Amino acid sequence: MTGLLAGVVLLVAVVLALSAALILARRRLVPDLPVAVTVNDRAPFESRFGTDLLGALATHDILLPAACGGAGTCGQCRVRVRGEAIEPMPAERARLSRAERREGMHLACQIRLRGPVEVELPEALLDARGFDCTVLRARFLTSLIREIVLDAPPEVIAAVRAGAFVSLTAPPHEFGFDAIEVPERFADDWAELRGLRAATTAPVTRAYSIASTPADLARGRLVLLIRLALPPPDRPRLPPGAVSSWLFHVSEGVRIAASGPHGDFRAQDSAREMVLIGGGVGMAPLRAIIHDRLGQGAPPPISFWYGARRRDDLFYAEEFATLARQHPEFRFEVALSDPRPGDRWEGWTGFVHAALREGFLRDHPEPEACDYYLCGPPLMIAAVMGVLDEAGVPSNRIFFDDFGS
Amino acid sequence: MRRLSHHLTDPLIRSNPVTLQILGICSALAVTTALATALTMAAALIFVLCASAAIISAIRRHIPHAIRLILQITIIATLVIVTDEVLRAYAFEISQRLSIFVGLIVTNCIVLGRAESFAMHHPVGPSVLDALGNALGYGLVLMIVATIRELFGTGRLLGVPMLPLAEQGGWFEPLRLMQLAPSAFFIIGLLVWAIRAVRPEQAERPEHRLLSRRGEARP
Amino acid sequence: MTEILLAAILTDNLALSFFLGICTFLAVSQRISTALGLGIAVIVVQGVTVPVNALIHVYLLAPGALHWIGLPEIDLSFLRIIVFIGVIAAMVQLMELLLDRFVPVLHRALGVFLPLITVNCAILGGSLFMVERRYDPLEAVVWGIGSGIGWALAITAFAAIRERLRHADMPEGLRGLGGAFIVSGLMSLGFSGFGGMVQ
Repeated sequence: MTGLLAGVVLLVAVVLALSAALILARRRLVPDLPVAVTVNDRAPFESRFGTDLLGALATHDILLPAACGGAGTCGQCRVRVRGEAIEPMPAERARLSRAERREGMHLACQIRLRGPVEVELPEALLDARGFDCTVLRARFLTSLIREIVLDAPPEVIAAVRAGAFVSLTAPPHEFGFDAIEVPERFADDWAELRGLRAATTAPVTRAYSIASTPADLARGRLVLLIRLALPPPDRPRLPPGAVSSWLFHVSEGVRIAASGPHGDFRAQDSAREMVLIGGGVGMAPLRAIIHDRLGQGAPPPISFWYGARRRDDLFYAEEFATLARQHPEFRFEVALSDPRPGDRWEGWTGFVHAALREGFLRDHPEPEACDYYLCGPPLMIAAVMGVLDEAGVPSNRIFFDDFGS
Repeated sequence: MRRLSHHLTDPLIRSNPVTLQILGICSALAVTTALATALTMAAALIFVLCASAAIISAIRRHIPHAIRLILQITIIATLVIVTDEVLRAYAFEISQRLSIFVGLIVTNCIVLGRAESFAMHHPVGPSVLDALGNALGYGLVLMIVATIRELFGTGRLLGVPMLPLAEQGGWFEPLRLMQLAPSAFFIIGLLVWAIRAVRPEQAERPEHRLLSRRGEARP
Repeated sequence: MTEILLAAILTDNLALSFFLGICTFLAVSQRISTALGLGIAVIVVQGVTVPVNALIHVYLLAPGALHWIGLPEIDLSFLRIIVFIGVIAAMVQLMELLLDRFVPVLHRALGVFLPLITVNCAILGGSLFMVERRYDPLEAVVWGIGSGIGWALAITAFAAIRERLRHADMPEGLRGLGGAFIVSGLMSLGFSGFGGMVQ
């Protein structure tokens, strides 16, 4: 009996001693101190020891673009840190060139505040303020892609350049996918998704490219394409994307917190022939760029290569076919990788990079003299980069927006 | 029943945790010098895995998320202590030969892995079957390695002479290497090779491949 | 003392002679720098946990250890597995705090592997061997640091070999896991060559 008692007492004592030691160590090592952050010679603001710089800036309304949400994979939240050099993190080595690192460039999401810090940011970024917008319209384009039209304040619209993106923040939410209204024609595709649940206890932010045409912008409208981020087939236990699920759930009239516009993916100021290659919701910035260029006087020859799996996954096709009829210098080509017999498909069959090689690069007299704009899933971008490299296109003629959708 | 039984058969062959997911080999190999120790070890693991799956699955709705790992480890450690004490009481000689390796079941990746990824989300029945399947898969690999090592290392199986030894006038000269650590690595390596030769889809893609300028399928 | 140290590093190498910590060993040995970082973390954790566990064992758990509070007949040694795991988990968390504070780069590089040290058999195995071989607290310090160094040595050398092997033209089925085992086997064979150094 004493043995049992001694055992229980001892176990409890050991656990208590270890917990006490840990709590003490945490208090010593991660003190809850204020830390001063100075941006571009403005008055410093206070943040807490141990928070990351990206979050600290965001709480003071300095919203850096961060498509990956602070994971260090998108490389967009660049800042220059003044003063003593900080050793770069592995994620920074991967995203910043050696010259940039030497200049003190860092990714804000990788910097933990451990003392006063002074950072430099482009003044324009300080103006990329947060704004509220309202959902005007939302409709399904394909079974997994939804078009959302938002109204935005005039100063935001004025700053939008074709190819830019905005960040949308989903508030904490929880709902089952059976609460999402799906049009009758997609009911079959959605049957197996009905059991999924979306839930988050903290606000989550993701970036979406703007697909607005100049006419949309003139009416103060941001058009966004949302692809539902589903768990990968080999890991079905993972939750679906928090923001995309929520954006599939919102209905007209809902207010959304946003920031932007951000991004440096845009048409070059040149008279070179433009070749745009896209897949999935990579359509969005390319649509904006195409409409923008065709709307200006005397555009260069433009061709748009779009890859989808089958006819059901195509959207805006009619719009681009009409554009091609109106503008002789614009060419629109679609490649379907997996057309169904019922699609009666007579165009390109296979992946879009193969179609580009057969239908453009092989017979073009000077493929290295064109500008290439790529936006789509990483695998597609890699394949297209492969055929462009094969055709001798130098990498400084290739512009891409790799958002990993 | 068929729906249930695949929990049992899948891990046995198609996704054997030891050979395919690199899990749980840690404590598995040191006890494979003799078939008897390997069998005891497998039995101990089967008991711990099934019992922990049953307990954790039964109380899964009452476990606070924040301390679930600590709870799981505590449950597993308790079961391991019980197993260790039982072995010591009823099979002292074998428990001495198993040395510290029964205790190391606590840190065996399969046990915690199955608890966390399967038992936490499924009812007791499927959880126990899944645990049993995984433990049997582990036992199978252990048995294969132990059979090879004991048979060729000593000419015996479970202590019973199987091959005529040279020192007793036979033709078989025991391979001393089989009783040493490196042979276990070699046997597992070759076993993985064999499995992947039969099931090529398990082979890993090379990280680097010489780029060919042509060779993709035309549309 | 030197014998314990040499045995811990070379002849009784936890990874190559006792197959301890093979899971982590195979998973983190893709790059030398990460492997070395993990190796150092293991040395430190091992160097701290084994002596702490040795003290706990000698003064609290071993048969008759509680005679200093007048309970000489009590034997709590069956509790050692659970107590050791607790100490290891706490030490790893402490280690994480320290690394995050003073060597943030290493902290990020080790990432998910640090918590995995808790369930690394090599750490628990080191403490259990210490009990089984009846080391006194001073010997336990040597054994702990030595076995950590041995494990770090093995994983770093192994990562170096794997970096070269990445470009090797291996049979399809041996690529990756299978080849890694064969290489470990060869290394283990090499380390067994030290056998004569320690009596």
